[in-house]
Amino acid sequence: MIEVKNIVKKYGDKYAVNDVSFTINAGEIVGFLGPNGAGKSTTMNILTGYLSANSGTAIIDGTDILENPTAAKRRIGFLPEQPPLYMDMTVKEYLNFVYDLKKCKFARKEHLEEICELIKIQDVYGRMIKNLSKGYRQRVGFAQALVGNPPVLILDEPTVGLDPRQIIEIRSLIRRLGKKHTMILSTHILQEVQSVCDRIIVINKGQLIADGTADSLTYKTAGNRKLVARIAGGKAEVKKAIRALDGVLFADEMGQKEPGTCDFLIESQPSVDIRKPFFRMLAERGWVLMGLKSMDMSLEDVFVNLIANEGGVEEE
Amino acid sequence: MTAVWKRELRSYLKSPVGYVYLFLYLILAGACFSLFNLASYSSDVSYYFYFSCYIMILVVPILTMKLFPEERKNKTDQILITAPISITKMVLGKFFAAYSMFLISLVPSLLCVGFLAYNGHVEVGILIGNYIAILLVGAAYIAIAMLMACITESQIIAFMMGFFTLLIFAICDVLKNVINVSAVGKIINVLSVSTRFEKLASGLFDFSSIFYFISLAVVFLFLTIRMIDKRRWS
Repeated sequence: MIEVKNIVKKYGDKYAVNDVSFTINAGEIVGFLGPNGAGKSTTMNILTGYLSANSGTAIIDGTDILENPTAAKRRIGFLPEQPPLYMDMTVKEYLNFVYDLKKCKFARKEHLEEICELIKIQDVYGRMIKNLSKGYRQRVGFAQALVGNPPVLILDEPTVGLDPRQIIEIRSLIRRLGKKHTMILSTHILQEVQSVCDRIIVINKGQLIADGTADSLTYKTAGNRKLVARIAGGKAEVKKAIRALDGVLFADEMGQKEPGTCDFLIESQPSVDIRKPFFRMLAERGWVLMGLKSMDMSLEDVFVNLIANEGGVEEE
Repeated sequence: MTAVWKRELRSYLKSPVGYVYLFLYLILAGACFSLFNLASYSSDVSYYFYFSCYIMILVVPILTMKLFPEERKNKTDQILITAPISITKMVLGKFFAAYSMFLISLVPSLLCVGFLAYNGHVEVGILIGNYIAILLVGAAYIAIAMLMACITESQIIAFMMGFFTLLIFAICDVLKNVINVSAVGKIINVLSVSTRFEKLASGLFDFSSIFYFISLAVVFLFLTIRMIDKRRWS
């Protein structure tokens, strides 16, 4: 659906986007992740034709945005970081303007009503945009992107500046829209990516540094598996027994947090799941497992690791 | 194009800017009419139109100053540029919106002309010549002021730059007399709006003058389009 090849964008002699390539299949929701100033917005602006790339190509639904911008733009709904709203218009006037601007050929009234219902802005339909709250403005921006029913939606930080309730609403909206549209959304909020995206593309300093599902990224960068187990039994023997298990690299006590038990930190090779043999071993010896917690890396850790690694490379 | 034109025109009519423009133009043009026609018992429309041309130097930048700076400040240019219309059509939409306001402001002049025709004699050839001339000058001035507005993000700077650029076009004849160098004189002859305006206004169908004003508008609209497109590259 979206094919980006070797996109380069320079501001002066500084690279904002440096040789970024990726492909997005129809129906995917892809999260663009990266710290502020990483080049997320620039990439999105190039995809939507707002900016031009110095080199590279971007093909949207079979149409090259650089060669045939008008046709490609018709396939994209874009919600920029700051929703492009005319403050002196009512929501109704604004959406009608967008409808005309995009030269849509649906039944106008039904199409706009459908969008308003989906985004839940019917009750502000007749109000001036300048009098709307931030949450509603964001939603009107969303509605604008949906006018014309484009197959591709590009959303630049769709939940920034909203309150937690609104964030949840917008996320559920994104998930619902994801069934009908191919979507790219940028964010620096990790839970957001985790909760709505099928795939994650991490960008830092203008370069693509990771591309995959949340699980695969965690797996790739995580290294050893870590478990914390709370066990009732003799400290020294337990430790010895754990260390004797296949695949265990490291085991040590972490202290007593509950009377009569001891917590152990266990590290194992990434390819081995030691939970089953571990449990059997405890059962055989008559020790009681009071709790077991996986210490797998969260997306936060993955992200921080990726960015940190990048930084290291840069400094060399 | 019509979507942009409609939106801009609506915005003129819903915001103070459009009315400030109309008020200033009509009050100044009305003063000219009172002075040159009513007070001096003359039915000659030439002065009225000739001075309208000078009034436009002041009022046209009011029309154009918000066309681009406001869009850039509110980031609404993003929806225009990422919409499936070309930059040319977007710029033309804005141009015709400003031109429509200009046409609206000319409507009351028909009243003045009607009044003169009823009470005296109005030379039809000269009247048509004057209307053709002012319609062309309006187009050229709006295009020039638009380029000035698209350069900056501030409305005040857009107004000032538009005003001074138009002033240079309008009064370069005066400069020719001050700077008595033949090379400068030649350049000024090429640029001069007022000589060509007078030619057309005298009822002479001067094709080169018509061509001059139209090409002035086209060149400045083209530069505006290039300017906006260039920003996508830098």
